[in-house]
Amino acid sequence: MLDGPSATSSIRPARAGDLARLTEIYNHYVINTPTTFDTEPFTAEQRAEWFSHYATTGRHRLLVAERHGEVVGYTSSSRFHPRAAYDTTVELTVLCAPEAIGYGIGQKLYEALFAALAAEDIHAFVALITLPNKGSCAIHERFGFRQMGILREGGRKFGQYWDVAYYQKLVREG
Amino acid sequence: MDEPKPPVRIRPATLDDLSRIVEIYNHYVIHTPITFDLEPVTVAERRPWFDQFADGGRHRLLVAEDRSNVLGYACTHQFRTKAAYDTTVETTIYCAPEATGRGVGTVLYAALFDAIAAEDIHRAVAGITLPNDASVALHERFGFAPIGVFHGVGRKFGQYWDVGWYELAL
Repeated sequence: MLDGPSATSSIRPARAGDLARLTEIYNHYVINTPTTFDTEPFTAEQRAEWFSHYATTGRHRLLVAERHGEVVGYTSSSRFHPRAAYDTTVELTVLCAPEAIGYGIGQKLYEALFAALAAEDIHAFVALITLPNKGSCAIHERFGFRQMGILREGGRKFGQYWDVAYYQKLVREG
Repeated sequence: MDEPKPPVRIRPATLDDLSRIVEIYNHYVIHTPITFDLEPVTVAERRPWFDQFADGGRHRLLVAEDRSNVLGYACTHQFRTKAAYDTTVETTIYCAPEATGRGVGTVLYAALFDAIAAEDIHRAVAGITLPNDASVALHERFGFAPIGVFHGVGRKFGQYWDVGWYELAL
C-alpha cells in the first residue's frame, strides 16, 4: 500500500506559491514538537524573509515534495553561520507534514537535495537534531552523517530543556 | 622573577571602547583562523554587534584594562536565533596579542561568569578553531567540557579548519 501509485511523490524546487503551505508544515513542528527551537508560529508573510534565502542555483536550496498535487514536505540547505569562512558549510533541514511521514518522502527529498548540490562549492553538511528523534537520526545516518556530539539541554521549550545532537557529513576532497 | 605587572581592571565596555575592541578583533581576523570572519570590520559595521550587549541580562561585554589601555574583552552573546536557544549563550574572549600570557583571559572570564551568575542561562558554549591549546586550556579551567569537533567547517587562508565545541553547565 505504501508503495502504490497513490503514494508516489515528486520533488521540485520550491516556488513562491508554496510559502503558505511550507509555513503550515513548519508551524506544526513549532507548535507541537521540540524539533524546531522556534517557539511561536509564523505567518506566511513573516516567513518570506526565510524563503528569500533560497535560489535554484548556489549553495542554498529549497525543494518540496508533492503528492496528489499537494506539498507534503520540504528540505533546505541554509547558511550555517554568518561568518564568511563558514560559507562552505551548509545546514540541512527536512520536514514532512505529519500525515506524510513513513512514506520515504524525507529520503527522496534528501536524495534530490544532495544531487542538486553536487557541483556546489560545499565542504561540510551539518544537521542539528533535537533529541530524542530516532527517525531523524536514522535518515541522517543513512545519508552518511555522523554524530559529532550532543549539546546537553541546549534549548528550553514547553518548560523543559532539550538535548541537541550535532550531525555532520564531510564532502571528501578529490 | 616576573616583572611587577600593573593591575588589570575589569569593567563593562562602553561605546568609547569599540574602536579598540575592533582593533583587537581585526588582528585575529587578519592573521589567524581563530575567528571565521575573513575581512576586517569597521567600527560602524561592528556597532550592531556592540548594541546587543547591556549591563544587565544574558548578553554582556566586559573589557580588561591596564591603566587606560584596553587589553582584551570577553562577552556572552546569542548562540542561535531561534527562541528556545535563549537559555544558551555563546562566550567569546580576545586579548590583544601583546597582552596574552598574563592571565588577562582568566580574569576576564572570572568576571564574566560572575556577572551572569544570576541570569536565566542554562548553558554557555564556545567554538574554538583548532588547534588552539591556550584557548582550550582556558575554557577547560572554567569547567567547559568538549561536545565534539566539527571537521572542516571553515575555509580560511586556503585551507579548511576544524572547530571544537565546548559547553559549560551553569
